[in-house]
Amino acid sequence: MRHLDPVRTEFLVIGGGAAGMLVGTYLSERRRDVALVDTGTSCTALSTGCFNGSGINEDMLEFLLPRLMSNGLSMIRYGEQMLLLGNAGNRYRCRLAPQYTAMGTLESMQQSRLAVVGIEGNSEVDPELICSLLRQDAGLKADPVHISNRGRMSLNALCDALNQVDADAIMLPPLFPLRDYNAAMLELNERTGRIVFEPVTPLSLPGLRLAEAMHEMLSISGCRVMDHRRVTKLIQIGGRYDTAIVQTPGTTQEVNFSTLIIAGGSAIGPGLSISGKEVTDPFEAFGITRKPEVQGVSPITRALSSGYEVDGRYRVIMSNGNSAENVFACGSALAGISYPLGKGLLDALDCAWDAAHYAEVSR
Amino acid sequence: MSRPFNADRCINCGACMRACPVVQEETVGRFDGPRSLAVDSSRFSHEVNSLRDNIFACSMCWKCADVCPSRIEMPRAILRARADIFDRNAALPGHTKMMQNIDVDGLSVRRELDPLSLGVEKASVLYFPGCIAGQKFRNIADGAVRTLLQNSTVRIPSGRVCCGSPLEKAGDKVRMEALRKRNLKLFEGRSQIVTSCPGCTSHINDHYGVEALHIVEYLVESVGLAKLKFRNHGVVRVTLHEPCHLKRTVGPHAIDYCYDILHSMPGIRVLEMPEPDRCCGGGGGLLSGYPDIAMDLAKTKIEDAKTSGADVVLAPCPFCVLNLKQAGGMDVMDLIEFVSFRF
Amino acid sequence: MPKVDVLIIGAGVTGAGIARDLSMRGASVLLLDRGDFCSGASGANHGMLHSGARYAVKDPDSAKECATEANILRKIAAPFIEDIGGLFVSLPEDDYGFAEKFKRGCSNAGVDARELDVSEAREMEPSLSGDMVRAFWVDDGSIDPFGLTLANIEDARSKGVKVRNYCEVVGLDVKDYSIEAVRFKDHRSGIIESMNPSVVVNAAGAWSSSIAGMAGQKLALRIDKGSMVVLNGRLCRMLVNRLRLPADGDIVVPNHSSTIIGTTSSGVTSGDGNSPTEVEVSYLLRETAKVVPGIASARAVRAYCGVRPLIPTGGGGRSASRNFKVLDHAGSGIDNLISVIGGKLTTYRLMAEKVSDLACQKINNNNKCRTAKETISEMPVIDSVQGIHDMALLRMAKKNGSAYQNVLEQCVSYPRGKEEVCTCERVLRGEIQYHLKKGDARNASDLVKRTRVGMGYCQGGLCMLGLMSAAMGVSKTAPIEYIDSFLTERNKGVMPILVGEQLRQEMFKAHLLRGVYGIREESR
Repeated sequence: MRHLDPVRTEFLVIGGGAAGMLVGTYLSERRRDVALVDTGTSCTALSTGCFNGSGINEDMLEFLLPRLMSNGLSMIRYGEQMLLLGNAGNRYRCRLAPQYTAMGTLESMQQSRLAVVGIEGNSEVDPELICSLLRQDAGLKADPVHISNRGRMSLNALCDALNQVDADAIMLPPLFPLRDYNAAMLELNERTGRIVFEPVTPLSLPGLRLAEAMHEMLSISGCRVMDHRRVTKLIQIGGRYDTAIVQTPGTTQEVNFSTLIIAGGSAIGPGLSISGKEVTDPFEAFGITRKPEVQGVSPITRALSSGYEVDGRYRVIMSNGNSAENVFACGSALAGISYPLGKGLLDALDCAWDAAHYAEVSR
Repeated sequence: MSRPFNADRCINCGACMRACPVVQEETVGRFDGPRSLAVDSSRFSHEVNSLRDNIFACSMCWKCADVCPSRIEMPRAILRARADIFDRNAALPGHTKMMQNIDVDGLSVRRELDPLSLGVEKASVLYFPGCIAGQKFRNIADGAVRTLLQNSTVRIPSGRVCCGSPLEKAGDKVRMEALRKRNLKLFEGRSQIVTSCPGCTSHINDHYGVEALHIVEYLVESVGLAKLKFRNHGVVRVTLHEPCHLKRTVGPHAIDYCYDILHSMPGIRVLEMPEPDRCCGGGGGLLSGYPDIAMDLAKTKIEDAKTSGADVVLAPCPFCVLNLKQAGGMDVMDLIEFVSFRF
Repeated sequence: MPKVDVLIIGAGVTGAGIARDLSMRGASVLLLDRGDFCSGASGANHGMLHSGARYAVKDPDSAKECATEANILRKIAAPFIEDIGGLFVSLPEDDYGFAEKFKRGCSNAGVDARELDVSEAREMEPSLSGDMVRAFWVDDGSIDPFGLTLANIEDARSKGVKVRNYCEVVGLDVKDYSIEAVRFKDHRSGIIESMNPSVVVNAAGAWSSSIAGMAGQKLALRIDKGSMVVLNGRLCRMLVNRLRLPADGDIVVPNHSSTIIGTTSSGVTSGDGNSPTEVEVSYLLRETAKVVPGIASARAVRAYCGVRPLIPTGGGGRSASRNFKVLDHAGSGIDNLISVIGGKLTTYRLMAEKVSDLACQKINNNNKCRTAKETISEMPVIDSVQGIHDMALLRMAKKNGSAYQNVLEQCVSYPRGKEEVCTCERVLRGEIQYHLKKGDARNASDLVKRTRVGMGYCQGGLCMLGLMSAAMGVSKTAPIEYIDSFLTERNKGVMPILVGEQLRQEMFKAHLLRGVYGIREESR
């Protein structure tokens, strides 16, 4: 175990998911000295890449959306009428979704013919399943189409194949990484003259694109990104945390900080731990509570509603019930963000925005 | 004997399959992918005979373990399965050839040049070039020595053999152990072991019980950037390929050091390629076992490198250099060899 | 009213075995079950092919039967048997003298049991505890009860037997000391049908008392619940038994991709409405971890329980005999009713033989039993198939035996048939469609039994969508109902073990299935 030289920073952010990256970017752009430690896993990369949530924080969106756009990801605000389709044949209403994910309003969709394209070797879109459910549940005219494919398909080949398809709108599986996405989808739409779009697909490219775009945003901001590393321990002196031990399999390093922001995510990833039925704090320092506090629910619901508790300024409540002086938390690591289900990313981003502001003025 | 390497923690999210460069390039028809090999199939351990050879098509890039929310060490599970298969005599033809080379004179490649040797008593550095830098691309070892001599005394003991990493990847623990014993004798003394190849670095650290530093680690940590006196020999636009073994088995700090070195060099413009840490295909025994897959990955990597607009791809790993050169289409050079001409 | 020689009530392994046996003797047979095949003890047991050693001390007759029958099954039902052997192992806390009783008992019962050095035992089975005191090798194996039962049914069908699931007997009409009609409701159509049988066989297991009651007969039965826990992966190579008087938590059985630990024993009042409890689960995990320490850190993926229909002689629970009994109700006023209770999965064929002998007597059929000699199902030759992983083929063979080619045909000849629906267990789309086309499977649970879809560590996450998709166009059931019923069913098994990794798994699935896809799921 090699000891690398210690690092000194003003703000340390734990976690490189959506919440952590937003905090890191915000503080770095405000010329603060920020380091962000991330393991390399990202549950944001498993998300749908769409923004849904209970509230809309316009300031946060004003900050985030242009930065996403300049890194290749345009998010569109869809009105209540616009329906997105999911790759399980489900219909998805969404506040903000990446460009090229919507087909239209329910009315316009019911008057169009939709082709759902499955590409051999790609299991993201199951045309028969989606068409059958859309026909049954939404009364859409949807037909499955299969494109056979050997190895990687070129854009030209795809365009040619799509031009053979008789439909007003075409649903494709997610095929393009972030850097090609806008250009490729634009070209497909233009050359086929149809509405070519992607379904809302979790565990796939859309989440990866969002994570990538936010990562670009973070790197440009000047934040010191320490990736593929984990914070394994937090050290306090006189009740005030000031050092994190950062480790890789072969190295260990101390990071001294003035303010800590925990954005390590929920118990599904490596951010929070599970012991038996309970969600626990991997640092064994802070309290874990449940929100909402409902009795008699299944262990799944209990675990989903568990997380760190914070005070009105997003400072973490410690095991002794006091607020930590210089430790903040945000994102799905907080109690009440992951449950009720289906809230999506906006809540995590909203609290990250607020936490970043409180953290900044705390110094 | 619970499920090894945390494989029990899998939640079937598929992140590893999406991140795997071999799956991306070849699809699951050709390569089962990390989850299948390390998690799913191993649950039928009594039927393991039907694990296909393609378990050897993993490039050991460790990307799967990185992105896994459950922190499952899939490459370790795959290495263990390879060792089991090897015990049942199922070596790939390319690997057999490599082992023949080892049996002849201890190198994973055919010996073409006389071995490098430099005998300086009580040197601060013991330089271990490895098979590729020492033989196939002697220029890499020459560049490393030139660079090290700027600030340190160097010895290169004779009688070196392969560090053993390729044997571990092929599942041959017996040969791997024999090589270790031979090298260990040469490693006595107080010199710091410095290597050009991240595969050697992590293998020596993991298996030899002595500490080895990759040359970028040595230069930045032990020598210090301030002591590297670079001169401006004209503007060159470079892009850095981040080798898997350097980033993920030696450590991400070493990648930071590469950029630190480059940024301290006058006249060097560093341009970033997309996904600089995507595997080039040279590792995990792919080069000898599945040369066509190695080539596919290398070609994709060169395409990415070209989009950066750089004149040359630099890679702090002789295996990466070898594989990328075979793909062609752009100049490829070992990072330290490049650096050695800029003093 | 249509007639039939023998009408069998209960399509567990015993009923299925009887149907096959009778068909081979030329009798006409109708086999009914109120639910799917294997809904009783046959579908919720430990999957053990008993060498008999476990019963050698307290129940030597049962032990003898097991030893003989296990060898027969190895020959006639090879695809469904993992002939991996078993160990009996004692720990310091166990009665030291039991080993001698065990040795003697096995010897008297003709059960092969060889004492091993503990170091030998550990070489055979590295997962064993370091505290082992004594060890014996026995000829145990593990057996897939679903595959076995279904193979009996398919073989019976090929010989003309009519087999119908989801047909519930609602009345037995007795006239002149004889059952003149069996009335049953087909749950698919809702129609009540009648059949005039020469003989009625009551092989309804835990429900035999209520069936006998329909003919005014009292049938004493001891209903005993046993719970088991399924752990992810094969944690040992062989079966591991505790060398002591039979108690809870004695046995560890590797089976397909899992390890099943068990079992418990508690009296219950009905075959219905039982579920494994958290207390039972904790106990099983603790107790079995004493012999195989790896169990302490293993991932439990589900718990289940079955109900044993034990003969009511002897003591309760563990000390009740595992013998079987064939009851001729002629002795109590119904000439053509035969009930069979007790017994073990391992001895089903013998039970079926005895019942069939009696039934044939009643219909003046002099043909002799041939089931000990004639193969039910064979391991097929497996050639590589383009586009299908070799392991998927091997799994398909082990689940389907002789029916392998037919299943493979569905995968190869139909569009998308080669696609994997369940990656944990390597289940192909074509397999699902084959079983749906056969018509027996009505819901996802039925498909799980036949294909093992959703039996992996994720317990049915994304494969549920593949399942829905495969069902489309082949089944009349609305696809979403497959998911609803499956998830409800899975919940029962998952609730008692919702800790650690499985809890994380379920949290993730909840996000995905409920949060993103909006698929309904019962939750408490």
